[in-house]
Amino acid sequence: MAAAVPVPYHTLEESPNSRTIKIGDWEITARTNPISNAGELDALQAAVGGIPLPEMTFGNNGLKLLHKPSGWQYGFGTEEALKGVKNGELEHGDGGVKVGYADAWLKSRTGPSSQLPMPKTVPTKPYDWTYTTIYGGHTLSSSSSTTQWTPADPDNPKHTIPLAELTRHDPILFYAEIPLYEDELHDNGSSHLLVRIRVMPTCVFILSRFTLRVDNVLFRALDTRIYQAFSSSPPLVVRETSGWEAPYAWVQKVDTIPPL
Amino acid sequence: MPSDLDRQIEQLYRCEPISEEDVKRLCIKAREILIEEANVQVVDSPVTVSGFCSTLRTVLSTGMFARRTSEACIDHGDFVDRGFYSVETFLLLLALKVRYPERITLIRGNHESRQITQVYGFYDECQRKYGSSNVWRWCCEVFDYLALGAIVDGRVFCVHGGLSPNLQGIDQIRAIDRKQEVPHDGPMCDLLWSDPDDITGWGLSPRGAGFLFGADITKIFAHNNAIDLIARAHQLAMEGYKLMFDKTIVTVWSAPNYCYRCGNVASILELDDNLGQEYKVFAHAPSVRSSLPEPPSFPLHPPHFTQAQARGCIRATKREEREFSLRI
Repeated sequence: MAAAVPVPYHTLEESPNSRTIKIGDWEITARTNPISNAGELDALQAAVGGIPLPEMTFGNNGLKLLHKPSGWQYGFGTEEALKGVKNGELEHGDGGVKVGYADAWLKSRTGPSSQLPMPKTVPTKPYDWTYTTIYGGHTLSSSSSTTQWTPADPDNPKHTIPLAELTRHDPILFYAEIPLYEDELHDNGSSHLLVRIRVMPTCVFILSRFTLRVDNVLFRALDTRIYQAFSSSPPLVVRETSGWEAPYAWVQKVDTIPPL
Repeated sequence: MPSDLDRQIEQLYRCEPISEEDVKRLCIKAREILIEEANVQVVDSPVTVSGFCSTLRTVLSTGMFARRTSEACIDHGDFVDRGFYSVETFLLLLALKVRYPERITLIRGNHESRQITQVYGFYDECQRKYGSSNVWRWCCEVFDYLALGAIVDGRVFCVHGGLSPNLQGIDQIRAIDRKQEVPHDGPMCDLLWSDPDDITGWGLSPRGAGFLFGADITKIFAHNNAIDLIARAHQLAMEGYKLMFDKTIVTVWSAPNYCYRCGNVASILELDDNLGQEYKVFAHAPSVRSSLPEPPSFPLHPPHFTQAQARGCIRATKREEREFSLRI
């Protein structure tokens, strides 16, 4: 039987749309609010370069970490996340996709046997309508520290995220799920950026995950994990980014759906 | 049948499913009524227009329907998918339609389709509640008979999605053979899928399929068809409704707290005898009853892959090679 892990002193503050934990040198705040209203969306759209915003934009949601002694502040916010979405024509390597039936749809209107004349169309603003982003948080401008990220040393065990520690059933002192945006891709799938954090007696662990499903086309999951061990001295934060993409048919094979 | 129907309405209003046999009879009866309706149903004011049916109980109690027994209601489609009670909601609508055929007008949305309901929850819900796909099949057969639009006093045109480049006049909509599964393309598809956008003329959706239409298209359509307003649904509006293009088109969104987490309000549009517009805004519905059994757990969205399933997948995009080699 594992020895009980001592729980360090910490305080929790809560208001309807915001929760804060203060533990050791850290102050962490999670904000969860309804989706942005029309005025907020207009302002946000201008700030991110004019792309149409996701249907469910949680512009007032966010996560902030403050390391009090150094003044370093790191956060996750909707505006910065959306700035990571490609604005403009998608080129080779940008991961642009069309819906599964796009070719058939266009052919029905432009093929030789088409009975439906295609209207003259104006160019519409090109952008990544799947809202794919590899955003993994950002150092806040209010941060008084100039600490930089440096590449991890593969030989240093402290530069990895310890799964053993994270799978231990330690008590969770603070947990938050913070959606930044969601879009249903006009009923062609689902695009979803969600940040989750748990503060344990020994560490902070964050998973920011972008999930995409385009029906009958593909799946994508892009993750940023952040780990901070309270015992590290000087305090060390490890950030790992990873991801994968798979064709829809490949994933469908793994979990068979009974025929209708 | 009348007393049976009243009993079914009472039961469905409480979010309790009715028997499979009752569903079958109800669907047959609904089809008999719907088959007589036009592609664009003619409706007289006063009438309430609602944009999304998952909170039918709130809609019905908020709108005129509750207060005055002679009033009418138009529902814009997307009756099913994404909520916990699609089955009860749609069957309640059908039962009310059969009970009060002149007072309720149902318009087809893009979710009233075999393809979409297999992805977004209605098929799964039918399986779970009835143990077979029969109820789903019968409901899909009813979907095929739903009208494509409605016109109120000849001046307010109601449709689920929007306009089509191949349909300049409402008369042309009347010529469509609507009794089919929602096609992937063509004018019937456009009516259920297109969106207004801040462009001039017609645009192609960046997704590769589907049209966008601008203010000029909307105003020309309104002018040519002598209508004042196009009322549609299909897109989420945080404030419950969204007027565009000098109030020639409005998106009416009637699902509050969408997906149980957006925190948005919803609205219904009341048109009085003079077609005066009033938007009644409401917040999310309280629980139907406290003893409601917890629905079995299932994802609000269709089943996501899990990481365990995905582990074997190909890691093969250029984007990944370029961006994910950092381990900071």
